Amino acid sequence: MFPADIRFFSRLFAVVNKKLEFAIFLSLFFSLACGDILIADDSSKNGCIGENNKCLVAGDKKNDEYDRTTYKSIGKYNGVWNRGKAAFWDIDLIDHFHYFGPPQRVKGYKPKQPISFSHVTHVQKNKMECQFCHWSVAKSPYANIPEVETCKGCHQIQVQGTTDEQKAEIKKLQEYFSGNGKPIPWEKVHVMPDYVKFNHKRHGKAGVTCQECHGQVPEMDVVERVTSMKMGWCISCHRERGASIDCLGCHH
Amino acid sequence: MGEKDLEVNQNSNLNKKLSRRRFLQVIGASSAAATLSACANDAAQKIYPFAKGDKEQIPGVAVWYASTCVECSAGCGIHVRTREGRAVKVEGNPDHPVNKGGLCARGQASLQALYDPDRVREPMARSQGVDGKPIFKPISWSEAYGKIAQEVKNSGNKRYLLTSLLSGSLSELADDFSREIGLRHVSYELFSNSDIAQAAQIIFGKRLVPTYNFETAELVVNFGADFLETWISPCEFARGWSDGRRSAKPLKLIHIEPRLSLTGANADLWLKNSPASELNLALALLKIISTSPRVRGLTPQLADLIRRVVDNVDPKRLVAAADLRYADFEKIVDKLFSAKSSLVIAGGTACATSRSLEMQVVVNLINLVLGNVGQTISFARPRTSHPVNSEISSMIADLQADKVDLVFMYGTNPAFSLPSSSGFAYALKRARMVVSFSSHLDETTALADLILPAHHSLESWGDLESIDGEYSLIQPTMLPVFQTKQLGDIWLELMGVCDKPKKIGDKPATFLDLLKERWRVIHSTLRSGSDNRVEADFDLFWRKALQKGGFFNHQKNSEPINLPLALDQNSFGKLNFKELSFDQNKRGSNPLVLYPYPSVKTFDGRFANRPWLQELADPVTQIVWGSWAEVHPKTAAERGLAQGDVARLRNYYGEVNLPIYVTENVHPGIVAVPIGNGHSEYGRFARKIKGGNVLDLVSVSDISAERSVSLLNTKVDLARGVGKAELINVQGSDSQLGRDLAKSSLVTASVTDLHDHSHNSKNGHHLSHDDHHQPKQMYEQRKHPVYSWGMVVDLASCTGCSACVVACYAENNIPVVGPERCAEGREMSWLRIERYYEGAGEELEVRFLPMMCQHCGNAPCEPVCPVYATYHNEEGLNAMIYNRCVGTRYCSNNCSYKVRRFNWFEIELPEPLNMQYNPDVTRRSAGVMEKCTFCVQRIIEAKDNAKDEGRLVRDGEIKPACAQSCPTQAITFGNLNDPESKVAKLAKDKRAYKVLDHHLNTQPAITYLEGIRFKV
Repeated sequence: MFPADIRFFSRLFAVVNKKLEFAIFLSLFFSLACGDILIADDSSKNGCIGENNKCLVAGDKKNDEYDRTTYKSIGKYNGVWNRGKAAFWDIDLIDHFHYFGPPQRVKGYKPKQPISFSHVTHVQKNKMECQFCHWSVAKSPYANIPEVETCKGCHQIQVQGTTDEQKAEIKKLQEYFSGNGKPIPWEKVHVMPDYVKFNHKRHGKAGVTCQECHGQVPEMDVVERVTSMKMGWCISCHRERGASIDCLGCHH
Repeated sequence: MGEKDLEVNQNSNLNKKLSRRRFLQVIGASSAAATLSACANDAAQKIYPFAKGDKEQIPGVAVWYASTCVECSAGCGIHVRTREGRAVKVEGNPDHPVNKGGLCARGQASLQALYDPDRVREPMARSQGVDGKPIFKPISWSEAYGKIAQEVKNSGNKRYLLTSLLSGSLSELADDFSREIGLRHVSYELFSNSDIAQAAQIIFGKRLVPTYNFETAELVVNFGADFLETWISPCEFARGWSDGRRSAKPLKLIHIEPRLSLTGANADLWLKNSPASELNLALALLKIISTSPRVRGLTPQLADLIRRVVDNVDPKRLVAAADLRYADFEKIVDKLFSAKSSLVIAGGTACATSRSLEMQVVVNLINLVLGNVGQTISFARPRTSHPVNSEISSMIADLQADKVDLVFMYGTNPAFSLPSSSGFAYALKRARMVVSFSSHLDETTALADLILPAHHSLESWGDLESIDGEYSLIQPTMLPVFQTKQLGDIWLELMGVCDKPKKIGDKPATFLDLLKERWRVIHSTLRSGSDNRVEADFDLFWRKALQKGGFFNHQKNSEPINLPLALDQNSFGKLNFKELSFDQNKRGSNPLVLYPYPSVKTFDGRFANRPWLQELADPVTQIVWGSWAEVHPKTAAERGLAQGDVARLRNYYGEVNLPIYVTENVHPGIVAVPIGNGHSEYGRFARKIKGGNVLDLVSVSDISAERSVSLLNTKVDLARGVGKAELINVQGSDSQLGRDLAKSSLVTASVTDLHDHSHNSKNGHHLSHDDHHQPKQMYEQRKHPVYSWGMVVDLASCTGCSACVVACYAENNIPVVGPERCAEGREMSWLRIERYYEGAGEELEVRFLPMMCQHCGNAPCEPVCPVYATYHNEEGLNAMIYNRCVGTRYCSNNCSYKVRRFNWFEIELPEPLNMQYNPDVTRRSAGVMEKCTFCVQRIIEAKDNAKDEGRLVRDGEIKPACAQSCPTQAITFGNLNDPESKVAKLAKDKRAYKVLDHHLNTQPAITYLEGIRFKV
């Protein structure tokens, strides 16, 4: 045998063991404070999606009925784990594993953007609708980031900002207008892995408001991730509302 | 352009040889890493918005464009799916009169030519490299134009424009361009319909390629034409063939060819004649039927004509010389007379002898005697046949005599596809300046001095009139990938530079202007023809045509049109109807006849650089990534060669070294080699296949516009070869080993309805009885409350053409793994066409079985998954969740159908081939299992649309990629819960069975309908 190898292994196991114990302890501790979903207190405020900008709220008759006929009567095959109920170790815990790794994009992720665009100024002060910029949200699985052209519409000539800070930022923005325009390299705040297929249109039509997942963006100067957007968080809402929890719905 | 192939991600530790110590270190470190970052997160991501919005392009929603496929001269209509401005999928256009919705494997792979990593990306000029070898250096467009203008001004000698077959506006512009610059326009195609058109000219006085109505024929006698593979218009004919098989008077096919082609494999009777005996057989057939007492309505003129042709023919001797039995031949004659309608066709390599024109004339006469002209052969919507190959010989002669200064080339690759004995490549080097407009660096373009790359057809405008009266449009589906230009615009700009600008009004014209101008003329002609379907306003007409893919007349003139006999005495007199004996080539005496045939995968070589097609299993031999020589066991044994040995094929003209594929299904006197591989240029995938170009062994006599290029004219010597090559065969077993996977019944009596026959069939396999009484199940059965997705595959319609396989690759981002991995059995295709032989010799029957995940109701893979990554969902799908999979491969081991594929590596396609990936489908990482999903992304999309409208998904709304692409519509998909759906009705058909269900109780969601063979 190679004594060096044995030493290496025993040391390795000691380290791994300790880390594991610590992980399990912390996970159990934090699991008590998980699964928080921000629900907008008044959904008729800014930023709801649906047909003709009419706000659809959870429990809206037409949509709700349809979903029930499809999924509520199913019973046994409602879910795949534990007959539709999550196992005790399931999902929510996974959210807290990031305490051991490098800083990750979970709740509270708030990257610095190339241009410090403020939703407060645009939505709250100037009363712009979410869908004025994010126009594809009710038509497509993806909610678009507004084209540079959209910014140009106001900021080319008319709107040059009031404070010095704003003026500087708008100047930065205008650099992207030159020629045919250049895309602005925004930092992605809400990142879904590519094996997750999330459909904005479907959720909007089912009466999920923007705020339920994205938080009160109108009040954010810098956009921040307010929900974990981990699978447990998705599933708990799906389960609450009787939506499908078929894995294949989102993972294909 | 670096030599970067399919890249295997080297992070995978499997790839490295590890020392024991290193192994332990890696294991230790990776387990520690796994604990610490169980949820490793991705690096910071950016999100880039469009600079300019386009309200047509909604991010995340596909935009479809109608266009036309120009991969071969058939001219099928296509729908191109684009996402965020990139073409991601090509499908057949259901409204198009040629293909009616299906699209062959080659057409679908046009995307890989668009995103070809070896494309010429910008204008290039040849210069001397450091080591003296020529290299291409980028040059600006204006500089290149300047060089050409100078050459045009200075040169006094001949100038040539060499193209492939052009059509529509581009053809008209080519005429203008040639006239203005002083060029002679020569077009070259290895496979042309010249002989058919010329035979029609001689017999009927019109140079046309007729329409063949397979759907109304009851008996088709086919001399070698591969009409289910590449001949003239394979999608159209495959559709006609399957419609004929399904009709009340089902079509029966007799195929006569020395080699078993895909068409032969689908025939009810395949006769293995000796090579180049087709003309003799046709003469014998003509003699027998014209002298038969059963012949009716023979006009004196025709009888006289036939006498001139077959007076001295001795049928018995000719049939015996062709290695066939005279009794079989008499049977064919009997069937031809007793069938209500029949059709005799000839084509392919088998007829590409030096007397291909005589063959077509004889076939025309046979059809005239049988009364088929105006019935199954129609001149209502003839294919336009532009003269090709007419001046290629004189061009080569001029080049050799140093009489040529300037050659422009586009779309054709004679340096590869013209037999090298023609001396084209050497001759071309003698021209002072060679300019290529091709954007692929093929053998011919590599000889050019200047390359001005033109757009791919998916980036350009154009039109096509492959069938008379059917106007197809080609429109750009995306912005160009590289710095290329529209070919028409390059020509127009060149005319401008040479001071001969073409103007519309007083503005210089663009190609789009010319195209619209031509369509204005078409519009006004159609209007004056009082066609009330044509809008008065041109703009509206144009927009509608763009939307539909063209203007189609197909409802009109559907009655077949007859042409009277109008003999061209002069041309007829020149024909030689003496019996053809394979003229032993004067250059040495070699024992075997070389039989180069157009491959389903590579055709004439133009598809060789497309990884999908290279990885596609050849339907008959099941070989991937390679070229091979098909040899009879007797021939191989005489030379001491066994399956897979490298053999040397050699004659006066050249030598190639290929692995041999030993099969009973070729005539002992031939060596059959697929054309299209063995490129020395063209790209990284094409160059992977070594061994040499089989066309190097073919002698070229005279190439003319009247005959097809003669391929069947040389003999070769076969011996043990040099070099190493591997025959990569993905079919495990040629025999079903009694398992009855692909069922087929032999129908002896004449039947009126296919769906009703199985009770009358005497010899066939009967349906297993377990369809009548379901076995008792031990456990509670699964229920599917709303949808229960299912599929029916009709084996009687499946020709094995493999279009579905490529469709599946394109739709589902299936990695192409390359030859090395294929040899290890690690190909990733979710859908494969299994080919089985039943019986042998005369009774040989080939069965094709499309095999994909069966979505079992009682799936063996599900209970063995330790992490629930695969499970049965409430819609009857066997789901596979990639992010849950940990890669134990238990499911694959337990799968009864071997349809699960494991990602041993992460395969990266080289840029920009990866632009084709379908964004709706997750790309799987290494260590994950994958398999057919029934195109779940399409199911989800359809359900999404249905939900928006508050309804359930309609029948036929969902078409998985395979079902959509099938030229014969053999695949049906739908909701089994809905008793009115097509799939539910077909699943109750009397021919229905499920593979292995009666053995294993897997309860597949895929039902197969037994194949049908008719006793001929």
